Amino acid sequence: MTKSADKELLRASFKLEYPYERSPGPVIGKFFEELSNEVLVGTKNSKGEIFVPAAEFDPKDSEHLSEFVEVKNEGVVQSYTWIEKPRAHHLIKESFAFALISMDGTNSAMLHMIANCKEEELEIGKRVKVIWNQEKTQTIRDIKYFEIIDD
Amino acid sequence: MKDIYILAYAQNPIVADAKAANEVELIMPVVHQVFKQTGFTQNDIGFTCSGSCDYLQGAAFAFVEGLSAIQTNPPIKESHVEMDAAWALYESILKIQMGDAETALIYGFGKSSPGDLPFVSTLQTDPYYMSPLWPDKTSLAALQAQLLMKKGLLTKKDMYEALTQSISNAKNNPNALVTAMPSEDDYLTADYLSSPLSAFDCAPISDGASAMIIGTEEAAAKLGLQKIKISSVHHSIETSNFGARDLSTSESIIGLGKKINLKSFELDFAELHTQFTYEIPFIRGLLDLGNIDINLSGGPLAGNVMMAAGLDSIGKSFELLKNNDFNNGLAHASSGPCLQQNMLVHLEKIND
Repeated sequence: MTKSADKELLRASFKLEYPYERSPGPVIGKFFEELSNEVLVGTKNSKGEIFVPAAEFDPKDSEHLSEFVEVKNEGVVQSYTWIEKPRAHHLIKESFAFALISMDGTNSAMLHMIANCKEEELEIGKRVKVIWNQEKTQTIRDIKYFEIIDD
Repeated sequence: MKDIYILAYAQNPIVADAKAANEVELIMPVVHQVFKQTGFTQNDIGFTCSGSCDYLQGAAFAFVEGLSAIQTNPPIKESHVEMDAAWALYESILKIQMGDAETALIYGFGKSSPGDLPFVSTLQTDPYYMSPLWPDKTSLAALQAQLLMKKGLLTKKDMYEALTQSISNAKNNPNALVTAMPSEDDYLTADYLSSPLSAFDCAPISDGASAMIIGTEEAAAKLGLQKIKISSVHHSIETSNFGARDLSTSESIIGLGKKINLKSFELDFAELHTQFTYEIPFIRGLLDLGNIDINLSGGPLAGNVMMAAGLDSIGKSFELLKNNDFNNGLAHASSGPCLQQNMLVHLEKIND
């Protein structure tokens, strides 16, 4: 290793961010617009399979998707990871879970968060529902998180 | 198709924090070492390709600075991949196959210590549906590990064995960062970062660089070294639609195993680009590797330089073939969350 490895490192603050805005396009844009109306929509392929969040193309055969269907704001946990102590950038400051959630009637899963529960209550197959953010930004964050549906 | 051989490989000692040493200072020693191993200078190199991640340095086109580590005057044929340097190797192979070069210099480098790597990796995920939720790299891997455990395909014991085997093997690699063996009790009682993964299950934050030189049959013959041939190399990627993937298996890895005809030769070992403990038993199962030794170099769990670790799997396989009574090695490189993209390389010792 070179000599500079022994030197004290100079430090400067730095904010890691995208310094530009993205256009979501007609499919993802429609999905976000509907989220701000507290409605969940997905896209449907010619086999009748539904993707939520809305996909622009079929991940298997690349079929272009443009038909929208509304789905219920409830779904099933496909996998989860419990975070006892949230870290730097996590949006929820108390213990929560990241989860893959398959909305009812759909053929894919959505990555999101589950809050206001205990780790022991979570399992694959658990039913959860959307909790909306009061302030809408037309982003995936219009869903604040999911909560377990009481039996 | 031309036969292509690995002619030289070098790896910097992997460190947790390279402090004020910049990327150029990390790259230069390994480039000099591969030149020394071959007797080449930059003038003998037909194509130069590097792999790195601009997010680690926090600026667009940050990789250009890395070129200061090599001689670029007179002008050279050069390229870069925003990926692990294993893919820089792949681009170099294509370049040689197209007849544009006889030799290639490949290097990969990464200095992860200045940032919070699991969250820096988040910025490489889907910018609409994923990164705004800040899923860190560990949590995404944990979703896969959890699914495998709940399906009965994986146990914490499997993960502990993968860890202890890696750390024990790390003694074979003088450049390894982690050599301290955790006790089973420490492992099993460690707090989870993201269940079911604790800090023990994650490859260490590492700084470093690696370099490799490859060449045609003619270039290899001139050097008169033991010939290690890249017999087969393939890569494939799964959909970027994270929620549409079946994380309990890997279409990509299974497909690649077939493409490189894994069953057609007697494999001596495998070096896998496994950044989490669970990935070792997972890939062993997917490729049906049986009792084959995995990561005799210690692998990424003993030192994981982002953007060089995949090239290291290939480089370490080259060294294992060169220095031992082995004939066939398998190297793996990976990219993206939950092993989204993979490369498999079959390396073969050619006895004249």
